[in-house]
Amino acid sequence: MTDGWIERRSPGFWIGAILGLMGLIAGLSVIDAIGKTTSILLMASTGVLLYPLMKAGERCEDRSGTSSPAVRRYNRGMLAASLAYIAGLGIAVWLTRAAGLEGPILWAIAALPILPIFAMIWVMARYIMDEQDEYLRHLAIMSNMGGLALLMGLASLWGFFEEFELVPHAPGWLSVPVWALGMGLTRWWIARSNRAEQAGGA
Amino acid sequence: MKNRLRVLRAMKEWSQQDLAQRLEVSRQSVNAIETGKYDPSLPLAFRIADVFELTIEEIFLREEEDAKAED
Repeated sequence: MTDGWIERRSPGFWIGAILGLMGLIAGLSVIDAIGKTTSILLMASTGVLLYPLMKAGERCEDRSGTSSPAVRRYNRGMLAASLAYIAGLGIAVWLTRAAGLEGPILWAIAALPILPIFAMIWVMARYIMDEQDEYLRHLAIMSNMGGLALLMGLASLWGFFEEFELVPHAPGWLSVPVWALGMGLTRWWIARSNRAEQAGGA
Repeated sequence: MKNRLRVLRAMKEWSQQDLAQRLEVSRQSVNAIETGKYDPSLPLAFRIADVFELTIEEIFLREEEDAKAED
């Protein structure tokens, strides 16, 4: 495997690789081929693939003309916060299982992963303050609205379904991935619509 | 809001990237403004007007002007 091969991969490839590996680890855990702690540590280790995902995303931004110094700072900040979130979650779960913690320490450890979530919000807010390009700022705000719409819509809908015992309980920590998915889908939809408009006007 | 950005840019033989560099914005911003997907703020509209050495009204068209032009 060479650097050139890695550099040619698209963001979709890395997202697929992360989801594929997570699915494989979850599958091995379900059939008891690996223990719970091992599966959590392996899941957390897939976080290293976030770096090539970020680099592939930046190459796409360069090609599509949506890059700026603030975007670069945002990407690095989000990568650091995401890795801290994964590490915090991994450490919290591993410590709770391995050390059998109780009382205030358990509360503190269980709350550990929320710190990087606030860091993500701060990175996003700083980006909106730093970005000099008003259209890119507009895109970031619209993406956030998309993330918020998906999160609030899905959480409320799931809550109503749960109320009538139609679906099982969903863990609250899913809110961050759902928010990120909503932002990603909104960016993809806007980029797709811009490409169609550009092709039509060319 | 419609505008004449694409035509004016073509007259200068500038690519979207050339104009983006002159305006110190991303190429995607130029594309979004040209296609009418995004209306620029007043400061950016003034910068665009300065780059083309025109007034804002000579670049951006009011809705009624646009309708008249189409008749």
